[in-house]
Amino acid sequence: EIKIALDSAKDLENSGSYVWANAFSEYLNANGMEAVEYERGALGGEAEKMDQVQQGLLEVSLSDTKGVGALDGHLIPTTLPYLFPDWQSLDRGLANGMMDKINAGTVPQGVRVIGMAALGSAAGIFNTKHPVEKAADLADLRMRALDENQIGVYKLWGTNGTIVAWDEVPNALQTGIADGYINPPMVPIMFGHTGFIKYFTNAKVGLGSRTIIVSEDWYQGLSAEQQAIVMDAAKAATEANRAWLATRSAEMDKLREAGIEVTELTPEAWAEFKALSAPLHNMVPLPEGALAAWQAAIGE
Amino acid sequence: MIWLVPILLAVLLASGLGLAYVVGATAVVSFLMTENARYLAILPQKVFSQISVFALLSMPLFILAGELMNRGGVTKALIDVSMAMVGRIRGGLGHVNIMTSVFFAGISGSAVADAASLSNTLVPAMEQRGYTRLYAGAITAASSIIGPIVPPSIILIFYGAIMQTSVAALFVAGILPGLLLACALFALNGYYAVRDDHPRIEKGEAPPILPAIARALPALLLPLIIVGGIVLGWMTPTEAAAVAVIVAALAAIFYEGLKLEDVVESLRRTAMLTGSIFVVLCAIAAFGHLASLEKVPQAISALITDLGLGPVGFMLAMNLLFILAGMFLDIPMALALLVPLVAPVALANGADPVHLGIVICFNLTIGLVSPPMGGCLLIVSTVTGLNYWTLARAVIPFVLVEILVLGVLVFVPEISLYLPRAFGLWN
Amino acid sequence: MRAAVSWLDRFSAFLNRVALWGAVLAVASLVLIAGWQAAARYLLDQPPAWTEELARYLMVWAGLLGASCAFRFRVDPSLFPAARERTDGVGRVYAVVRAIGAFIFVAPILWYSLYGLNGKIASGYIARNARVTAETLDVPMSVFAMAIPIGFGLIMLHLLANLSTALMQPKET
Ligand code: NA
Ligand code: NA
Repeated sequence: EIKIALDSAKDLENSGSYVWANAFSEYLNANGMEAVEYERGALGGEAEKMDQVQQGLLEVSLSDTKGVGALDGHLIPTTLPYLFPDWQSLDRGLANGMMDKINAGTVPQGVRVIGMAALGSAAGIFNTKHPVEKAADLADLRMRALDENQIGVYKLWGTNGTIVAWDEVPNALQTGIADGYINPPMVPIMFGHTGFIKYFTNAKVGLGSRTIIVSEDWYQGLSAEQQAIVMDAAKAATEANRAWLATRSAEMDKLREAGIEVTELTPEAWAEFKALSAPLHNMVPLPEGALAAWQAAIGE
Repeated sequence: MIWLVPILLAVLLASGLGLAYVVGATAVVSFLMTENARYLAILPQKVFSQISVFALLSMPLFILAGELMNRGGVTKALIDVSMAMVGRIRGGLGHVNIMTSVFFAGISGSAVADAASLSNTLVPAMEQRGYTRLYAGAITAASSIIGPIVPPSIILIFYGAIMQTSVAALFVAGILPGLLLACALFALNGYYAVRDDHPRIEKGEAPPILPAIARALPALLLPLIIVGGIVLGWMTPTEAAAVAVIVAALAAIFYEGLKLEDVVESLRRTAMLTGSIFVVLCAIAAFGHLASLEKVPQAISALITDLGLGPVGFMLAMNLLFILAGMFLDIPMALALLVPLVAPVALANGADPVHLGIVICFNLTIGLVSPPMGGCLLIVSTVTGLNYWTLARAVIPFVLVEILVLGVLVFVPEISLYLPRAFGLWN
Repeated sequence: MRAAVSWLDRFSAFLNRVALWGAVLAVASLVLIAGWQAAARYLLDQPPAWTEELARYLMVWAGLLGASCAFRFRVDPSLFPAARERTDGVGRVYAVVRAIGAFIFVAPILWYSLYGLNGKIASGYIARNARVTAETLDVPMSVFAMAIPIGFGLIMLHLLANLSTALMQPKET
């Protein structure tokens, strides 16, 4: 039995990572390898899932990309703002050797990366106060940051960040400890924040992703034929996920339906955000040459 | 071989081993019996993840705030204010006892702290003025459970962490139910005061109200700072807990002075109490993982759904389950064991997570004043020297009134949800 | 034999005092860090990112050291606490049962902290955490993960000391 630890609800309409997981497990089951899905949280949080994969106690996990990036930093650039224009470029990079580079770092630690799932349209800026059309409009907003990198981004944009744990975010937004956050478009709807989040700026900050990892101990115990089935399943799942992504143009309408005012950026305003964010790419600690390797692999 | 597990459980319980270790050992043996032995390798990470939870941070802090208050003479100032306010009514000291618990509740998150400190101070005072010790003890125990219902509340922090529900919303939701409980107890005490001709405080014996309030001001301001700070967005519940510790220490210095050894002793007790609760969490987590592997929660919700109880029937069955659990188990244990199993089914039946939290919290606190494992009964009987079972009998009328209030809370969710909605903390 | 038992008990008592002080320091730092986080939001332009993570991990240390002390002082909640005070023959049987029970729970946690499923230290829990850096603090996670084997290791020591003391106690006359 192959255990697959999900990271979201079993929602084929709204959850990109579940689209991936579902296609993956269906392919395996159809090809004689029994796969069982475990609900989000059933086998523990991110750290626990990673721990079980490393020990061969969990076969497949849809994991937090930053968490996997802690094993090998070549994955971290995919989480940086304004580095990848779209998923096509990221996929190109993975195919042109970056996936192998990442695995060279994670496999000795018991973890094999077999794919990345798109969570939806690119992340944008949400807030509770007023529309944001350019970076300067952020000046009077205190933005919720999840880590030091995000604080750095806000600083570069000319505003302030404040670290708030995800559990306390609803409270922080309602009471004004924070006025907004960066997230993929569907997040406020999925987490029930539409009561107080009122404005969204489609700033296309970066790609929201999950990284799919399998246990190396388990993988090495498979026959060559079975290994091939697993890799084909991952390929089919990634295709299903990207096909789903292409249908996501309706996300802005869903936000509007939920009472959130959507602001599209002018090309100039978007270019300004991108230019302001660029210094961050050299501030985040990355393995030697990682950025250059990605740029070469994308073909920029 | 799985039949070995209940026998092991019984033997370990009888030996007096701490409940956490009983549960932990039973969990490990269950892993072995179900051929899941290799999954024991998850234990270290499981334990770490289970307790390094952000939402739990405020628990040790509120425990510490209560410890510091207890040592610093804050209780006495609260009693004086209550005397000045309600002491002159017939049955005055009974009312004072309840009122003090309301004020105390605004600072402390624990019923046991309330029961301990009022058994020491108010029970002798009531006895001097012609109440029986039994009645004084009973009302002290019964009203101590206001503590964890009015915010802050360790039980609600715990529930919020398990259910990933806003602690701020839960705190504010507890205010009206706590006051409703106080009113119900005032009414019952009033009835006994007339029936048994309880005394009132003589004129001149009650402290003048304004100086009493002035003196208690630091202690009375603390709940305002805590709840107000959260509601107005000055700070998160966790930060409010840290501020509560600092203000509690300042208040204690203001009243009787706080010696370094008091501070150290408070820190020690906080660490040990936190540790005891954490081991419980770790042990339950081991069981939880096994249950997940074997898909037990799915089986339980299917079972409950098959019973076809309907929303009302389900609520009644759930409350019965929690009252029984509260009588036999430690509150953190009951929460950690039952909430992950029952709450998803309740939510699927249309329950509101905040309302559910208040109902479960209220319900479990009733277990604190019911035998056999009534924590507050035990404290009051230890401090006052009353026989445990005699006291338990004397508390019965109060417990019945509390169950009545619980019923009202179950069927009128608005009592819990009105304030969090009004303050925009909950939809 | 008696000397060895008494030495073990004194050693357990000594480490318990050290652990209690460690727990006290951890709780005190917790208060200061959480308080600083509340203040820094208003005092600093850019509040520190590390307060949340550090406070959480200090709580783990405080809790596990506190848990070992609670075990040594026998203040963990129990359904039949009176059974812990008996010193007669039945009391000795109880003491053995308690030791076995606690051992069953603690042993796998300790074992898998040190060794991986494959029996190698390099794949044990601590070794795995030594290779990962904390999110906001520039230290390996093993600094915090170490609280698990140390906390439960102390509990193991206390349970051995308790057991041997109970078995060596002179019969009540
Ligand atoms: Na309270
Ligand atoms: Na009281």
